[in-house]
Parts: sequence; structure tokens; C-alpha cells
Amino acid sequence: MSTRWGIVASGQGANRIGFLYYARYRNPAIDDRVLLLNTTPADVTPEKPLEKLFEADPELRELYDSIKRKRVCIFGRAPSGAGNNWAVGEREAMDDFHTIRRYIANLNLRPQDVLLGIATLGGGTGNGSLPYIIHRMRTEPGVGMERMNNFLALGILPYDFEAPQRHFNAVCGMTRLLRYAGRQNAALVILVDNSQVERVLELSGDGERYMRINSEIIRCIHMLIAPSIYTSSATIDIADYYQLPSSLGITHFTPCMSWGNDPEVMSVEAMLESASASPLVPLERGRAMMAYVILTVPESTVTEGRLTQEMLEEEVKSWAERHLAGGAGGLVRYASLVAVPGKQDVDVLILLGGFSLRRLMEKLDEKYHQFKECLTSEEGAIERGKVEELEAELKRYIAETERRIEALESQDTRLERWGFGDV
Amino acid sequence: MRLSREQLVTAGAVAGVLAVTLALVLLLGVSAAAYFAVAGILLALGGSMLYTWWEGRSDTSMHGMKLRLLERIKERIQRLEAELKQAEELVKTQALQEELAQVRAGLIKAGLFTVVFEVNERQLRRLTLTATELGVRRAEQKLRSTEAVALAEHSEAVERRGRSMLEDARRLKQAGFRVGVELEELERILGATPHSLSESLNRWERLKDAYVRLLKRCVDEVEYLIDAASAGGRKVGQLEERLQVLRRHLNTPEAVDELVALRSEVGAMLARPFTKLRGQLLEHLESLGRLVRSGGERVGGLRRRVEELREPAMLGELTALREECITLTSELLENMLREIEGMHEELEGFGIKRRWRRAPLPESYRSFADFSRRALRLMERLAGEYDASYAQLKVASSYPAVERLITQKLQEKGEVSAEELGVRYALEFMKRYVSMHPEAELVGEGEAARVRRR
Repeated sequence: MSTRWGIVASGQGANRIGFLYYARYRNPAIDDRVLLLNTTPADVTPEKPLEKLFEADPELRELYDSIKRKRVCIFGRAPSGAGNNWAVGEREAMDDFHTIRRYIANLNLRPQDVLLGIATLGGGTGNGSLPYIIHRMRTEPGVGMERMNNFLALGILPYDFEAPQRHFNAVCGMTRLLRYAGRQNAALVILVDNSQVERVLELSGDGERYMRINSEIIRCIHMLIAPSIYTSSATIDIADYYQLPSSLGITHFTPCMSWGNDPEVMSVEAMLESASASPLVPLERGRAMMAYVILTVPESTVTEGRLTQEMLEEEVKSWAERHLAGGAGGLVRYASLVAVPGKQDVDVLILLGGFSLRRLMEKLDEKYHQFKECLTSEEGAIERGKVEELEAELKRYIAETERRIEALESQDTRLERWGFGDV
Repeated sequence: MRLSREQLVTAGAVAGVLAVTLALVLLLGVSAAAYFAVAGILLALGGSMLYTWWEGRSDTSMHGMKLRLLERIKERIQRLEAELKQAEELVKTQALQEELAQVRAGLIKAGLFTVVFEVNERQLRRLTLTATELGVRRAEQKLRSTEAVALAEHSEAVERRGRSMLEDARRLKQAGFRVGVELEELERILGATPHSLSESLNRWERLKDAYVRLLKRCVDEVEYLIDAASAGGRKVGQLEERLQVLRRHLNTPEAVDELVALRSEVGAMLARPFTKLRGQLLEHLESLGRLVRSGGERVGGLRRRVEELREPAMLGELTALREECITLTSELLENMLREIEGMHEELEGFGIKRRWRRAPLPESYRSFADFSRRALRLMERLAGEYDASYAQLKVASSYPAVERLITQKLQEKGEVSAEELGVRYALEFMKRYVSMHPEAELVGEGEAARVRRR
């Protein structure tokens, strides 16, 4: 039985992305299993975050109305919503978890299926609730529900220009997605930086850019699920995505994408180079440990033997030796060639994992600290003690990541370890 | 004295009636006996009439059987006589017919038939069934032996004549006539062995039919070839006359020789124009196949069909393919033009305008060679423009992605070669890049060309 996917999109920003994905891609692997979570002030309707989408395309409103009853969940009791405070968002989720759980149960997912949680990490609702929801679903989902291990998370980082509290929220949210209550949380955390997406797409400051950025993100989601929908020579199954990273304890990834490549012009090598030049978070080149490569190609390319799984793996190996840490092709590497009927061009998704978080922290650090210095111990505010704990957790995680990268980079063959004499 | 059945039955009946009458008188009185007596008389009358009728019927059945025997033998004799008459076409049957006459005479002499060879009914009634059967059997034996001799002689004659026909058919096939099917039919008919004279006669009729059909087919073929030669501008008056004569004398031994001769002469007339046209078509299609960018499978298909025509007699079919070739070439030229114009429109979307003048398609031509020359010249020009436009379009549409690649590689290493770029049309991409990036320059040529930072 093939793996099914469900999407839980928490918070305004995630609601837009989740709903847009559902509207654009009628994905048989997902079907209608898209759940939009939000806290919302009493005077604001749940569809408010989606108004701009409805203005651009009125048919989307009809679609929304058709799913509203069973797929839009308003949780929490606070009359003013999360107020950009992740601690409030978390508490709302804790207090009203049974409501959330009921909606998740209605997605009718089996233990072997996948739940992809989406949250914009600069806000309060999604950022606050999603890590908690993942933690609960993995540890103690409650009566009548089975634990779910296949919980992936897509965390969207704020724009560079956004206010310090959003950067602060992002660091806390990212940390909690990676680690929660002292243990690994989401099986895989995919990070996307809005500003980096803007740079990659070379967008100027026009009104359509948010739509284009969201479109880019949902394309990434679709590529992630592609091997489950179409014929692929080697399927990257859900277990392949997270099991090895989980056992390494390094679970952060970012997409690198290249769309619409003309197979008559671009070689596979060139397409991989093009994709890897466009990661969706800032990162140092050559300092990543893992890569999942998905190529969606015209069906005829595969049936006519112009590109095979073996050829792809050869190219990916060659690319990985140049671009992953250590020069030996990285620690974990998978490639999947997906033949899509009716497709004319080639899309490439490289999920780059276990990369150094240095450049990302460079982006977030200053504003994080600016806001952290302003934290008070007033009621409703975020506890400093909690923040310190999170910071420590993130430092440990970063240190482990760096250690592993350095170990890869300095790796040499020591056959003496196996009992061989001097070589 | 021995009593007959009838006498015994009568005696028994009388005795019985008297006994019953006496009993009735004694038991029931005279009136009862009187009633019985009347009834008994009536029954006796009816019974005797019935008996008489039944007895007569048996006699009729026996007679009928004798009649049928004689009718049958008469039919056989008459049939064999007719078959022998038919067989006279190939064998002498006088002696056999005389034997048949003797059989007739024997039957007449035996009293079974009259002199006009009708059944002698009066005499037949006097003869027993056994006697009749005996006479008929003797006649049948004679008939069988006569038929066997007739069959042997006739089938041998058919075999001889049939072999001769087969030889003619093979000769005609060798001469190039398409008579494979008819030849097989003759072989099949000759291969069957007849088991009776009528089968042998039937076999002969079928052989004759098949042979005539074969000859007529050959005549039609010659006529077709003469028409083809005439269409090719050859003078065929004499040949036509000879063919008309041949039609009237198809039954003669000389017919086959004449057919072979006519075919040979017409074939020679057709050989040169056939070879020339075939060569022209193949050359044209080969060049066309190299130049077209789509529709190549149609060109290949037509070429195969031309290659399959090897006989000068197929000049008509070849001429039809020539017309098809002209139509196909014109279509492919139109398609190529449309595709080029489509690409030019797309290029305008990228801000690129190509200098291009639409050339007219060849509409009138003196000969196929003339058409081929003009069409191929135009196709070559179009192919060049097609390739250039195609390359330019590919470069334009993929340029943004390749531009990023070049920029990235320049940042990493300061320069990038065509090979390192890993794209088709690498040189075009690099040229375009340096035209849009003053900080970069193109050095080297051809495969050694590379872009580097100034």
C-alpha cells in the first residue's frame, strides 16, 4: 500500500501556503488531507489570511468553502490569538489539543503515513503550536490515536527586513522543531528563508512577490512527494527521508531547486550545478553532509533510455564529491529518477541536509539578541529560563553538526583501524 | 395331394362356422343361429376381398424391385455412353462403345428390355427376381470393366496434356508474368488422382479452365505493359495489333511463344525509363531524408516503397510514387516553413529578430529532375535557417539558467570552459554572456573557448 501524505498548516502564513498547495496540485498522495490550523481573534474570520488569494482567483473561495467545515480548525481560547508570541501559541495548542487532535484524526492517516507540518517561524501561532503538536503526536497522541513517527516539518524563516521579534521567534521555533523537551522532534525539518527565496528568484519589491515565493515553496512540497505519485526507478520512500538523519541526530535540510530545464540543452551535471547554486537558506558551499536528489523528467526520457537511474546516480555521486563535505560524496545520499507523463522539461530538487548553520545564524543572530535583551518577566511574556534552555539546545545541535562536518572534512583512510599493518 | 394355404383356410372357416351355428341352435335357438349365419357370410366376403388385395400387393412389390433394378442398369449404361462420348476429346472410345452396345444387346436378348431398350414389363412378370438380378449383375460386370479401361486411358491422356500446360505456365512465369497463383492451381488439379471416369472428365475440364484463365491473365498483363509504354511516349501500334491477333487465337500452340515474345519486347521498352526514374526518386528521397527535421519517417516509408519496385513492368506504379514524392516534398517544405516562422515568433518574444525572407515553393517544373533540384535547394536553405533558429531559441530560453551557472563558476574559479559548463550550444551561451557582462571576456576558440573574469 503506497504512502499517503497529509498537511497540517498552522498559522496565517502556513494557511496560505497549505491552501495554495491544495488548490494548485490535486495530488493523489495527499487527496484532501490538508488541515488549516489557526488561533484567531473573535472579530476576524478564519478565511481572512486567504483573502488575497481569493481576490486573485475567486474560484479558490468556492474551494475553501467546500473544505471549511472539516479542514479548518480554530483552536485555543485566547480572545486575541497568539499575538506574535510563540509561547502563547504553544499554550493555546496545549490547552486545546483535544480539538486539534480531533481534526488530525479526521485526516484518517495510518501510522505508516506522513504528516507534513508547515509553519512560518516568524509568527506566534504556527511557530508556537506546530513543534508542540509534533511532539504530542509522536509521544502521547491520546486515547484512540496511534503515535506517528513520520512527522516532517517545513519551517519558513522571516525576511531579513522583518522586526527582531520575528527573528527571535524563528530561532526558538526552529530549535523546537529540531529538539523538543530534550529529544529529537520532527523526523525531518526543512528550512526555507523568505529572503533567500527572493534572491534566488531575483524578485523585486512588487506586490506579486509574496505569491511567487509561496508558489516556489509549494513547488518544493510537490517535488518532495513526486516519487510517491509517479513512476520512479528508485523510490525515495518516507523512511529513506528521515531514518538515517534521525539516527545521526542531524535532521535539518533545505531545498535547492532548478525548474524547467531543457533536457536538450542542459546536461544532468549542469542541472545539478544549477540547483545546488540556489539553496533556499543562506549556507556555506561544500559544508553539507546529506543530499536527497529528485529529478522529474519527461516520460520519454526514461522509456527511450536516454536517462536511467544508474546514470543519474553516477552524476549525483560526481556532483556530491564536489559539493558535499569531505570530498567523498557526503554521508547520506539518495537519488530518484521520476518519469512524469506529459512533461516536457526537467525539474531538480536537491534536499541538502546537515549543512553548517553558520550563515543562517549570521542572518538571525543580531535581531535575535536584540529582542532577547528586551524580554521581561511580565505575565504572558516568554520566560527567560525557557529561552536559555532553547538556546543551549540549539548550541548543542549546532556543535554536533559542526563536529560531524569537520569529521567528514578531515576523514582519511586508516586501515590500521581494521587491523591491517602500515600501508 | 397337398392342399394350398387358401384351401386350408377356407376349409377351416367353413368348419368353424358350422360348429358355431350348431352350438347357437342348441343353446339359443334358430333365430340366433340365423343372425350369426348372416353375419358370418358377410365377414367371409369381406375377409376374402381383403386377402385377395393383400396377396396382389406382394406381387406388386416384387415387380417393383425388378423394375428398379432394370431402371438402374439402364441409367448406368446411358451415363457411361455419355461419358465415353465426352472422353472422345482426348481418347478413342469406339471399341468401348461397341462393348457397351453388346451389353445392351445381351439385356435385350435376356428379355429384360425391348428392342428400343425399354423395360419389357410383360416378360418381366414371368421372370423371377433372381433371374432378373442375375442378368443385371452380368451387365454390371461388363460395365465396370469398360469404365476401368476408359478411365485408365483418359486419365493418362489428361496427365500428358496437363503436364504440357504446366510446362507452358512455368515458361510464362519465368518470362516474368505474374501467374504464380494460376500455376499453383494447375499443379493442384494435376496432383489429384481420379477414381472414376466422371472424375477424370471433371479434372480435364478444370485444367482447361485454369489454363485459359492463365493465358488471359498474361494477355491482360501484356496489355497493361503496352499501355505503360504508350504513356511513356513509346510507339506501340504494332504491338497492339499483335495482341489483338493473339486474343483471337489463344487456343493455338503458338500462343505461349507469342506471349513470351511480346512481354520481352515491351519490357525492353520500359527498362530504361524505369531505371532512370527509380534512380532519380531514390536519390531525391535520400537527400530529403537528410534535410528534413520532422517527417523523416514518411520519407523513409516512401523510399522503401520505391525500393520494392524492381521490375520495369512496374513503371506505372513507379510513376504514381513519383507524384506521391512531389506531394510529400511540397508538404514537408510547407511544414518546415511554418516551423521556422513559429520559431521566429517565439524568438521575438525574447527580443530577437532574425533576418529572413520567405522563399517561394516550386510550383511549376519541367520534369521531376527539375523539381527535385529546386526543391532540395530550397530544403537545404530552410534546414540551415531551421537549425540556426532552433539553436538561438534554445539558447534564449535556457539563457537565464546558464547565466547563473556561468556566474557561479566564475565566482568559484575565475573562469569556465565550454566543457565545464556541461550544456549544449556552450559557445553561443558564452558569447551571449560576455555581451551582457562587461566584467567577463571570451578567450580561445571553438572547443577551447572559455569565459573568464577580466
